[in-house]
Amino acid sequence: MIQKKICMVGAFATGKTSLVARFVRSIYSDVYQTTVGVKIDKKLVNLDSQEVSLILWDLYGEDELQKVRMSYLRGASGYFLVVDGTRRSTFETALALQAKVEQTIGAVPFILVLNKLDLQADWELEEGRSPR
Amino acid sequence: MSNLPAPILEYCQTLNFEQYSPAYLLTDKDGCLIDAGGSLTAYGVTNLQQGKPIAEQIFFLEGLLPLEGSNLLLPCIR
Repeated sequence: MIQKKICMVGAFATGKTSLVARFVRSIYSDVYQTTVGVKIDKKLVNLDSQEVSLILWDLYGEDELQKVRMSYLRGASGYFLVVDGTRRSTFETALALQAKVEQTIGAVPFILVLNKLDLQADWELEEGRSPR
Repeated sequence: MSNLPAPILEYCQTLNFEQYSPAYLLTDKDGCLIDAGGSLTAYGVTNLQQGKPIAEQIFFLEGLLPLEGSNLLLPCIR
């Protein structure tokens, strides 16, 4: 069976853990629980009638006091960069993290996820406009 | 360390085993399990099969091996 490691990367409280919980266990909770270290989940998906095992590494969110440990990303086949649309600073953090990840593990595929669509009225990011 | 009296050394060793539950996995260059031991059950690891790829048996090891001579520190994994 094909097995791939995928990491969730981003600033703190952007919704990484909630996205994984929704994808793996189909649940969502409003209660915020900060991630300590890394939480690893496994999800089987069918891709072109072939079973693929996704090993999801939900990393703690980066903040001013705690930088993400790049060793967690070793061997990743790809990663999600999660941004909280209601906090512009999380976009800047995502850009910085992406550069750091690429420097550490090379140019592996990644997807930028703009999260919290339900709070779009509070977004600090505007369509078609650079957040810088 | 070796100049510590035996009872203190023994105390330190016991403390380490109680607090850290050390365990080990020995794999070949292809990532297949050769040997294993220590407090593996403390991590929910059971029924390991020698000769089989370790990443198929302990899924979070996917992509991490081989270590290529370097140490890898991964604290606080759940």
